[in-house]
Amino acid sequence: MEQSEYVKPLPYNSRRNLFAFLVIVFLVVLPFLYLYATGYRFDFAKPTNIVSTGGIYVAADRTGAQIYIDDELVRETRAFRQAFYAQNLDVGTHRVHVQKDGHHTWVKELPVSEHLVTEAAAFNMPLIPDARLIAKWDTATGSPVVKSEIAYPHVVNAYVATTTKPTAASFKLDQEYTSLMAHFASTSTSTASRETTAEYLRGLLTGGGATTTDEATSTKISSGVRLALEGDDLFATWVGPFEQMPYYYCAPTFPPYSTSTPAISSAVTTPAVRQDVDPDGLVMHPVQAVPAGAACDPTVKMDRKGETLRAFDFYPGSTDLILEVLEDGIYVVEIDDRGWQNMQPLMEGRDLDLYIENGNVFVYDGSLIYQILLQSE
Amino acid sequence: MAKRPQLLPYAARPDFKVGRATELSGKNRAFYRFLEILPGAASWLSLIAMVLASIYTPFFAAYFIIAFSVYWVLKTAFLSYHLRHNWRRLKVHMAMDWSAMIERFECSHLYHLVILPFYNEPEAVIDASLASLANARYDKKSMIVVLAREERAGEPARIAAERMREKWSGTFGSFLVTAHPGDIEGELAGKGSNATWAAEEARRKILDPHGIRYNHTLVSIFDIDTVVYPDYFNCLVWHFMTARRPLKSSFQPVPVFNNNIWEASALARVVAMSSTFWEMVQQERPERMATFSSHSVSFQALYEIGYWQTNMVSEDSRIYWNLLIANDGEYDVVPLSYPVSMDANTAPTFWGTIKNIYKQHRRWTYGVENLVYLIFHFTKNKAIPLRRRIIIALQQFEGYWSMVTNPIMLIILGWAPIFFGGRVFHETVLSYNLPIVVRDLLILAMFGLVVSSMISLTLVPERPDGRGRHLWLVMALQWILVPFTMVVFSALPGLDAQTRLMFGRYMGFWVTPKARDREEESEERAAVA
Repeated sequence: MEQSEYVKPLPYNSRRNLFAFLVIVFLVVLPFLYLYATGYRFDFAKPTNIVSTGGIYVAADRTGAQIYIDDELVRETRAFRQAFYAQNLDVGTHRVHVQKDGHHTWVKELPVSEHLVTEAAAFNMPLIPDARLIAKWDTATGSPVVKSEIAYPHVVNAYVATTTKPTAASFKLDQEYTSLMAHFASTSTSTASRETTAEYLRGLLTGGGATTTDEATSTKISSGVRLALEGDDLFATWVGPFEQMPYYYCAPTFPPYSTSTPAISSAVTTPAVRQDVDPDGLVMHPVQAVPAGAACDPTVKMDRKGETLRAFDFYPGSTDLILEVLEDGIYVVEIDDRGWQNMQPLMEGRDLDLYIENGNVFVYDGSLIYQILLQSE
Repeated sequence: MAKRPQLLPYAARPDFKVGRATELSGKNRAFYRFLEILPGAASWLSLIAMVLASIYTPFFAAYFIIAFSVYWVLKTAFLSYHLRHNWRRLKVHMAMDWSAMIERFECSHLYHLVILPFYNEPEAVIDASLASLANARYDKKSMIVVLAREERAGEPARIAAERMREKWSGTFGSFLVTAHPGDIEGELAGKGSNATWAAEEARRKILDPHGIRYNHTLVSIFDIDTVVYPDYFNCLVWHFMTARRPLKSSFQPVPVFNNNIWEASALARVVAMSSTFWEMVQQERPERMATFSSHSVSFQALYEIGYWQTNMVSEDSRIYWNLLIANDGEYDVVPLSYPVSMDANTAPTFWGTIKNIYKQHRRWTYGVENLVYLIFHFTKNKAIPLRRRIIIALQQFEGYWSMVTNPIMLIILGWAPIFFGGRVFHETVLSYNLPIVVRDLLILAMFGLVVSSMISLTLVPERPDGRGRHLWLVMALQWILVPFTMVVFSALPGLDAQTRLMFGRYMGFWVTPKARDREEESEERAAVA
């Protein structure tokens, strides 16, 4: 029987030739991959045939939301896919909006620089959030008792409306209501900051700034962000490590959106940090290697619609969003001031009071307390 | 030390069978110790460098990772090409009538000494192996079977060996049961010391008394779970008779770990098949091969170097390096591209299986001790051409280094710049595109797994009764576990083994537990084979 042609192992020459071919493939493919990965794209309409692009990364906080970039739908968010990375974007300003039925729309104009990715975190508050009603009196089964039908349409728990004045003879006193009212009473009066900025930063440098603290009603600190009232205005300042500083602090200014996406200066580069020193000589930020001549004040002035700011706090679980109690309601406002600050009402009404406990938001309208249910979908 | 004139000159050196640095003295000891540290240090430094680069030079790290991913894709294509060719060769070889092939040779003078070392493996495992020998299409009267038990395994092993002798001694030309003493000074309990004892016993008790010449005797050293295919010995003889230098060659079959493949979990199957595929790839590039697990070699070659080393773990590969170095580089591995069936590593429980596979692979990857050995002797034996020494040393070094570092670098550390790269890097398109590019390249590399999946299905024995048809689908899809198995059962045990060697925590021989769910099924399989 003749030996089959396959009995012999792979000839050395075949293997060597294949190896040489693959080496050539490696050497040819790699430069193109490098160019692609860093944002270069072919554009044969341009004289150079190659253009530099950038990207936008948008994270939504809800499933079922639609992300648009330059009015083009790019992603419908789902569980585990709540963000979108748009690449191949021309340098310039781009409009991003995120919308969902029954929710406020988030809109922002964002700059895109070559080889860089602009990040943004969108939020979409429900038009009318669900709320749990807490009244002074409860029925025997625990349902809150109110004097008349309430106007707020999204109360999730059953309540009893009575025409008579509730008394201890017929109803029981709600302990939660009593407890919360004590807090509302204690936080309704503004007090001056009991601690200077320098004192706080001294604590931060010795490791005391990692947890949320409530220095006074005029200063709040959480996870590297300090909210401080200065006069009538509220300022958010990044006081944490530079490496962890959110992208929108020290963001450069840029021209507004247009469909022609005009080029912006390539000088829009990585945000830098100024090495601020407080009066006592303490370094305010960790020393960073930043571009020469770069300076930045990581402070953002918060929008308050020109109204009087009655109270403020961090939105639970977030250092990007702030709750502002204004004259006509409570609003969720983003710190990110690129383009503008999105502001969405949490609850509208006059003379509302806000209290946050363990991540739960309670609103007192002068008669009843509502726990606003914030959970994202 | 007794003078042994049969030894080749280089094999007579006192340090020829060095097992570890502590067996040497002076500068040799320091040099050997340095070599023991080298592989582990290289692997650890590579991994640490990767993390540090991700922190301090994330752009460089990102470019390196992309280049590495491309290299990985091309390497996968390169290896798949070898695998596919060997699979075709394997299928042809399995279909060929090897007894007709060797008719043109005068080979009636050849004897086959089959050594089956065992410890405490179940009788059914031993029986299946012997049954496969009995079913081989070869003159059984020219086969000398040595069942090599360990004395320290005690009475159960002795009883099992005696039962096997009663059952099979009439089938073969000779059937010898040897008992390796457990108290020989300087020996490490393991397969090598048992096999060496058995080979010498066979020489004294059978070869010499019967006047069987050593150069006419082919030794097949088989793991106890080895089930030979019917034409194994015909195939072996053909390759022996046609080899460029038959007495200076080892003959390597393809170990297919499929004896118990239907009882094994998906994880065990993937790991077992991966090992088979690696050996298939190696069959197509014999210049990078060393012997592994069950293989065959002439008795004379073994006798000239004093058989296997008795003081180390990975004797199956070490014997090849012994022979290569003692023969001044004039020694080959001849790939048979013909299978022998062995057991996939499995255990009654899932965690037991994971533990067993990890330990088995740690033992296999402890073969890095051979790298130390060969570099040490390459600096001593100048009779081997320098170019060959350098090429072999670099190939082996790259093999052990890449086995440990590549999966970790690719699958785990590939993402490090994203996490450690810092703010400046994080804001770049490169940072965002890195995971996309790496992911896409890995998906491309996964196409190699499709080839693996298809080939694996052709190597699976017939589905036994009681096993659902859906298992075929599971067997096809199980290859998605490869990224996991590459890290957990290749890189980590390899790193473990290299680290132990680096710190001088020398490993002992760990006996892989063998089990058969259905003893009769094993016998049937042996009969079918």
